[in-house]
Amino acid sequence: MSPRLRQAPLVLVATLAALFLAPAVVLPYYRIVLAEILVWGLFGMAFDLLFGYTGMLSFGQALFFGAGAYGAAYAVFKLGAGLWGALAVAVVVATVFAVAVGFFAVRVSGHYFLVLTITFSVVIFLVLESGHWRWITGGYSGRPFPAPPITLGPLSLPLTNSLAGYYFVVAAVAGAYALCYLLLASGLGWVFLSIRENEPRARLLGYNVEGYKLLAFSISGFFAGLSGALYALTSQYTNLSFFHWTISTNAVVWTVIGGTGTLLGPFLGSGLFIAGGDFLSAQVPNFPIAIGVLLLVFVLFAPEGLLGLLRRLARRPTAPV
Amino acid sequence: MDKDLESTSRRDFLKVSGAAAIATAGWISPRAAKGATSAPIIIGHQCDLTGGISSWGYWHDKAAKAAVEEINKAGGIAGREVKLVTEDDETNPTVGARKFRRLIQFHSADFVIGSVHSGVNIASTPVAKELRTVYIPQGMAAEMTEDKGNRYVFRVGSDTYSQAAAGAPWVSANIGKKWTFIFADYAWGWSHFNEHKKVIEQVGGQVLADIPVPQGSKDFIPYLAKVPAETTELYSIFFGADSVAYFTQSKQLGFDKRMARYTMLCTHESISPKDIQGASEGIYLLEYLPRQLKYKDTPHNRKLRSLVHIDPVDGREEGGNRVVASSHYWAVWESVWLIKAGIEKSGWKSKKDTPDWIRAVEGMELKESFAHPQGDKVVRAQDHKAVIDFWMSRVENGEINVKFKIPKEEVAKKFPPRVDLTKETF
Repeated sequence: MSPRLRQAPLVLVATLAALFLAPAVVLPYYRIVLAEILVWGLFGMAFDLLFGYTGMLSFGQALFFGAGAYGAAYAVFKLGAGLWGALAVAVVVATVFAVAVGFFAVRVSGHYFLVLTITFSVVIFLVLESGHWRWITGGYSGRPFPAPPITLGPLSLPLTNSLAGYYFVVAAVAGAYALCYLLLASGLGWVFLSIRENEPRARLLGYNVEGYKLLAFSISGFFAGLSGALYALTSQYTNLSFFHWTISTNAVVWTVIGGTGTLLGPFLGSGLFIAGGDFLSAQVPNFPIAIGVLLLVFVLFAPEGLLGLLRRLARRPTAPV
Repeated sequence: MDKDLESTSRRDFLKVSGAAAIATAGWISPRAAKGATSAPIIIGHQCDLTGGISSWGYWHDKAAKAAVEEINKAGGIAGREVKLVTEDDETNPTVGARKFRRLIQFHSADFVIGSVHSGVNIASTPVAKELRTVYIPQGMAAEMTEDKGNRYVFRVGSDTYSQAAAGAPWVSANIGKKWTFIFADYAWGWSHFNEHKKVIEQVGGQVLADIPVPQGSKDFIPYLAKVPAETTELYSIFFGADSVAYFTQSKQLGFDKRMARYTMLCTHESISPKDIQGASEGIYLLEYLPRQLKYKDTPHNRKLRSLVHIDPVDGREEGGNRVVASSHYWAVWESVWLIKAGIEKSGWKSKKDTPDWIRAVEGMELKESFAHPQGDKVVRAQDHKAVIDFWMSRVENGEINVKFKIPKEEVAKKFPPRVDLTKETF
């Protein structure tokens, strides 16, 4: 194990400690903002698993975010499920959705894959948006629902309590991060990387490339669904815009800004955009223009993302993948 | 393997942490404690300043600022200054819900006036209850003050339910009873269709066909071809560019000659008929406050219009080209004054008195005045919906002319409450 890899747990423990202590020093509103950054960062991480590690640029991840959000809401609203039941339903629905879409999508690659994922996204959004699906979607304006409590044995905490909700999100995202890290650190991660680097060679080596791509797509759908469920449960509502392909573009932008091919990058990107937008919107009229300028600056001068920029500023060479 | 973990050293981590600490320094800034009775009353405004409905949000912002300025000029509320804090929701539910929290948890807003985007409203209603804060949204989804709402949510303007109750009986009685609906194939369009259908059937009318059109359609000809020839009124509800495309093509095909075209003013908000080359000429539309001053030429309405600087005919901003969101901006103005009326009636002093404010406003009758220039109205106790006057108007020579006033008493006949929020505990 390299010295840097040995330091990784230290960095993660320090980050977790900072997240653990944050509620003691930040205003209650920022607990919500931090939790939201983590949830959207998880969504970005799900996308980066597909793009940064397996080389598939998907604009369809919102489908699985939306499936997770609506799966959780439906489980609570219609089935009377508790928190754990809602999470289970959400990730199952999102993963099944991902398997179904991925079955077709992974048969093509490059631009065709991108176009196919956008097409799926637009078609499914339009179908759901039509009034015929109101029984699931709750109508054009979405559906509020009561957040179930966090139950741990005899302990029951309200998810709407900003402190309990915050720690729940930190724990869930940390768990997902660790799971994703372990997956990528295993042989499976190396297969994904080999497909990203040289798909024909991976095929020549005997790997079932389509099978592994479908697996990556499904795992990504699982994590995107988890992020959707966490968002819906903590914010207590669903909206059809969760399925919209523009939600997918958020993941793309945050990941590119934070640093592709990394697990931490999407969290930094979502943090920069959400906290930055939150601050700028109160200072600058038509602040999305300022965000757009920032994006251009990053693409032109820091194409390796925020993590890469920080490393460059620290005059450290980028480590080989 | 994982680039970030493999190559992030302690020094990098400290740099990132340091940068984050600087960037978020304001997150831990101490805030003055509220609660003293002399402290300003803070009204939050969750406003669509950017995004899809920003042309409406611009007017809502102006109306809210004007109302607060006028109240402060007259001594504030119960001797306390009123402070308005505005946050841009980007016409986006996820941002809107966060900004709603920001208004309350960061700016310490005592009351919040909401977006006109129903998705933003629905995302905010559970938070209103969670944070025990009165929320007065401007969106038109009927369910916001029904099964998707709660006791903290109030309405001053109209919704799809009251719009159907106001417009459908008059159109059925005066134009014809054979309706065809052509509408955006998503739930907003369906909501209009379903609410209207119920009222039409009650008044002996008949729905000949419903023609949902996918959003973003630019070619309406295949859909217009399905309109039955015996239709007497063709009801449409589309938004933005789709709306203009529909008006243009239905006129080109001569539908304006063969039957009456009818819609809501929402399809013309912030749009002058003169700016769309007569495409909507002859159309009937339901207004919630006439765009032309002459149809509601009261000192109060005149004063409000002068405060937001609009001309008396087109509602165009003086020195600019923006057209007023005439059927909605007044509701923001009146929302601020409703907050004032509730505080004065209930003796509200701080957030803990919010249940008293709610009880005081439930069933409150508001008289036409400078505070309520749209007209007399009742904020119904059971569903927190406002029972208001409407106006049936028609586009003639590029101007929106009122043909008939529909008094709130007539509206109420087809608009009974469907929920009772007063049974909900605080």
